[in-house]
Amino acid sequence: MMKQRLGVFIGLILCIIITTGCWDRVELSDRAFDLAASTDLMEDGSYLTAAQFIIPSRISAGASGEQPYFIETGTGKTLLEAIQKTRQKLSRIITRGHRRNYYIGEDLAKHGIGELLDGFSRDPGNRIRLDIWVVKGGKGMDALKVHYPLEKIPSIASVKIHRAVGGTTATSYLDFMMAASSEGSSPTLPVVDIVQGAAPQETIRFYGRAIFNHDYKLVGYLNFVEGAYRQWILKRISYLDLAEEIPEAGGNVGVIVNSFGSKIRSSVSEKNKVKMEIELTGAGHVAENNTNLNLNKGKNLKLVQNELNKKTSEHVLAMITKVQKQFGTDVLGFDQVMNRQHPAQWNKIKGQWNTIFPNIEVSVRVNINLKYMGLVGPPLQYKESEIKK
Amino acid sequence: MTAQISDSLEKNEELLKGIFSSCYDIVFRRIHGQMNILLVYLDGLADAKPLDDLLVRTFVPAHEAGEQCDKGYMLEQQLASIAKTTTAQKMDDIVSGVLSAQVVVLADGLNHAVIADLKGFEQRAIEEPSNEVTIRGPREGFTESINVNTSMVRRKIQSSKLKMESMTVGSLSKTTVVIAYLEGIVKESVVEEVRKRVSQIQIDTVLGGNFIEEFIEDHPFTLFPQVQNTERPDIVASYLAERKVAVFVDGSPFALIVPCTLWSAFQSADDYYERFIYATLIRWLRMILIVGSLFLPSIYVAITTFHPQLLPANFLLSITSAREGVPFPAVIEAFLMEFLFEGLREAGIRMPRPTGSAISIVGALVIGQAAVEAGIVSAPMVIVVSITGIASLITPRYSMGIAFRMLRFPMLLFSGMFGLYGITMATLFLQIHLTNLESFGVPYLSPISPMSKSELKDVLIRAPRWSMHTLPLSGSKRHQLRIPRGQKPGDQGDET
Repeated sequence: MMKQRLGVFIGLILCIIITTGCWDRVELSDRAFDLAASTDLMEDGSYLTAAQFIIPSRISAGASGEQPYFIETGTGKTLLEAIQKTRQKLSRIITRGHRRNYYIGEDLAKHGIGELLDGFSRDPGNRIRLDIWVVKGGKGMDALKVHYPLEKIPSIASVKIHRAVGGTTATSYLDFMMAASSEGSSPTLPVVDIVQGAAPQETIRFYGRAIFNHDYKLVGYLNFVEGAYRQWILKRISYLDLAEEIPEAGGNVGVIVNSFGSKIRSSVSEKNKVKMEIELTGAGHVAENNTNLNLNKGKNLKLVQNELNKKTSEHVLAMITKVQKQFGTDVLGFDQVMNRQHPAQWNKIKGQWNTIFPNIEVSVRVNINLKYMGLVGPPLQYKESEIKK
Repeated sequence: MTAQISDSLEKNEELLKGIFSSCYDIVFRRIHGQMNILLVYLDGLADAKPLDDLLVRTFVPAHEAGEQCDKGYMLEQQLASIAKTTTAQKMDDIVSGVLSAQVVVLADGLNHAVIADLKGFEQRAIEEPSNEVTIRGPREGFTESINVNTSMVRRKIQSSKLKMESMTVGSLSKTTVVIAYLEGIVKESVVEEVRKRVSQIQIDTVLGGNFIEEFIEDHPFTLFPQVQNTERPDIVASYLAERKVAVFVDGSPFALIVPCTLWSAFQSADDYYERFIYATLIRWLRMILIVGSLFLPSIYVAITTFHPQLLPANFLLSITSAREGVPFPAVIEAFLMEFLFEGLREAGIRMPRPTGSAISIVGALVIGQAAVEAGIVSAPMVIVVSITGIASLITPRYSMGIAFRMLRFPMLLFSGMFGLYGITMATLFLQIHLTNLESFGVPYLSPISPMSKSELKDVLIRAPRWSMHTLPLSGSKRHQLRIPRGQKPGDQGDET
C-alpha cells in the first residue's frame, strides 16, 4: 500500500516535469536586469520611460572601456504602454528586483506623479526598497545618462551618495506612499541634480529634498542643509557637518555631529492655535577651529557651543518657516506629533490641517553637545600669545 | 556424520580423509612412537610448532613408563600445557574443529579426540584507523581478527560488567559474531532485541559487518543508516558506557553499534579528546557544512533561476556576467557538475594508487579550469560544487555522509522545478521521514525530537566532561550518575 502510494507520487511528479513543461524557471541569461529607470513628461503629454539595463558580458571585462549598461526607452500615453514599447526592443525579460533608483524629471514632478504610483504599487516585481529621485532642473533620463566614474553601474551612485552624506536610503518610495495616504502630511522625495564635475563630463549630485503637495505635484525644494535639518527633526540622519561663525572670536568653528536626537512638544489652544516646541539634540566633535580660542578651556567651549546652538536654531527655524509659508505642506511630521500627543483634538482639526499648518507657532532649540575637542587645543597656526585662554 | 570415533586410528583416518577429500590444505600427520598419533589440522591456520616440540619431548621417545592404562588422560594433560584443549567424541566436532583452525589429535586405541586450540594464522597488526583519524586520541584500530578486537575493547573497560556473547552466523562461513554490552548499564530490551535479530539471520556467508547490518536494521529502504560502524575501540568503549550495544563480526575491522541516532553524524572522536569549547565550535562548523552540502547547490539554483531578487545587486552582477554564455540551464549544470564530482570521488577511492595523480590532474584541470574557460560551466557553479564537495566529506561518520550526499540530488531536482518553495517542501518531507525513523526502539532524532533536556549536553554542543552527569539514551527511568556532580574545577569543597 505504502509502496504503491510512493510510486504514484513519484509518477505524478515526473508527469509535471515531462508533460506540462510548466517550469516557471527563468535563467539569468534570459533576464534583463533593470537597475534604474526614469520617466519624463513629453511636450505632447505622453510619458517617456527609459531604463538602464546591465550588459552582463561587459561587467567582468571592465577594461574594454565600453559601458556595462545601455539605455532603452519607450513612449506612451500611460506608463504601461511606454514600458511595452521598451519591451519590443528587448530580447530578455525585464527583471526589476534590483531597481533601486527611479528618476523623475522636473517637468513631470510639477505636472504630478499620481499616475505613476498606482503602476508601481501593482507591480509585484517592483522593489519596495526603492528610491525615487526628482532630477532638479532636468529630465529623468539625463540622470541615467550620466557616467559616474566610481561605480560600474552609475545608477548605484545616487544611493551611495545619499547614504554617504548621512541620509536614510531605500525608503523614499515607501515614505512617499505612507505620507501620501496619511491625513495631513505631505510626501517628499530626495533630489539629485546634474552638475559639471571636475572632469569635462557631468556628474550627479545629491541636492536635497523635493516637497510635494497633496496632488503629488512638486511645489519646491529644500537644499542639502535644509533637507538635513528636516531629517534631523524626523530622526533620520546619521551625519551632519556644521560650520558657524563665532563673532566674539572672529573666526569659524566647524563641527561634525554624529549622534542625533529630536523631541517635539505640541500644544493646542482653544482657538485651534497650535504650538510646536522642537528640541534637537546632538553630540559632535570639533573638526575645524579657525578662532583664536583654546577649546580645551571650558569657558571657551561653552561660548562656542552656545553660539553654535543659537545659530543652528535660527537656521532650522528659517527652514521651517520656509516650509510653512512658501510651500504650506506639512513635511515635518507635525501631523504625527499632533495625532500622538493630542489625539482628541487632532480628530477635530485634521480636516483643516492645511490651513492650520502654515500658522503653527514654532520654536526651535538646538542643543549640540561638543564632546570631543581633541588634544590639539588652540589652532596651531596661532602663536602662543594670540591664543585666548 | 554423527558417527562416533572408533578405536582404530586407521578407520578414523580413512573417514576423515573421505570428508576432506580434495582439500589440499588439510594436513594429516601420523606419528609413530610410544603412542600412534594422528594430527589433523589446516595448513597455515594452525600453529603446529609448539605441538611438535611437545610431541618430540614426550611421546616419540619409547618411554618405559608404566601408566599405559590411561593414554587419553595423559595425552590431554600433556596438551593442556601448551594450549586450551577439549575432547570430542563425534566426527563432526572434529571436522568443525579442524575448520576453525584447531589441531585435532587422535590416538590409537582412544575413542575420543583431543582438540587443541592452536590457532596461529597470519593476521594484520594493529594499525592506526585510516577512516576515523584523530589528533589527540589513541591510534589503534580494529583488525580483521575478532579476538584482537574484543580484547582491545576489554582493555579499555576492565570490568566484569562487560559481557561478550558469542554466536555463529552463516551456514558456510560459520562466522563468529560477538554481542558486547555493559550489564546493568545497557537497556536490557535492546540487548534482547539484538540477540533475537542476530540469531534469526539465515545466511550462507558473512564477509563483513554490513552482512549483519542489513538484517538487523529497522528500516531497510531509508537512506539513513540506523546502525553505526566504527573501527576505533575507544569509540566502541565510549558507546558501551553510553548504554549502547556493540556487535563484532569476525573478519571485519568494523564494529557495529546500535542504537544509532542522526546526531552521531556530527560527533567525531576528537570532540572528546579536545577541550570542550573548541570541540563545540568544530561541531557547529561540521553541522553548518553538512547541512550546507545538502542545500547549497539547490539554493544556488533556486535563487539564480527563480528568485534573483534575493541577491545583492553587486553579487548579482558578478554572477550574471559569469553565467553569460553558459549553454545549460543552472539546474542541468548543477546536476552535471555534482555527477562529475561524485565520479571523481569514486575514482579516487577505486583507482590503483599509482594512477592517483592522473585522476587529480584531469579532475582539477578538465573539470575545474578548462570547463570554465571553454564557457561550458560557469565559475560560480564550480565554486558551489567544490564547497559542496568539501562539505559533504567533512562528516566523521562516512556512512552518514553518504545519506546527505545522495539527498543532494533529489533536493536539486525539487529546487530546479519549484525554486525555494520546492526546497522547503523537500525539507519538510525529509523531516517527516526522519522523525518516523527508529533504531532499536530509539527515535532517530532523539534527544532533539522527542526532546530530552538532560541529554542535550552532547548533541548541539559538547558540554564539559565534568558536567555530563547522566547517561544518554532516552527511556531510562533511573538516571544513573556517570560522573558525580561537583567536579567542576574550582568548585571542589564548595559542594556540601
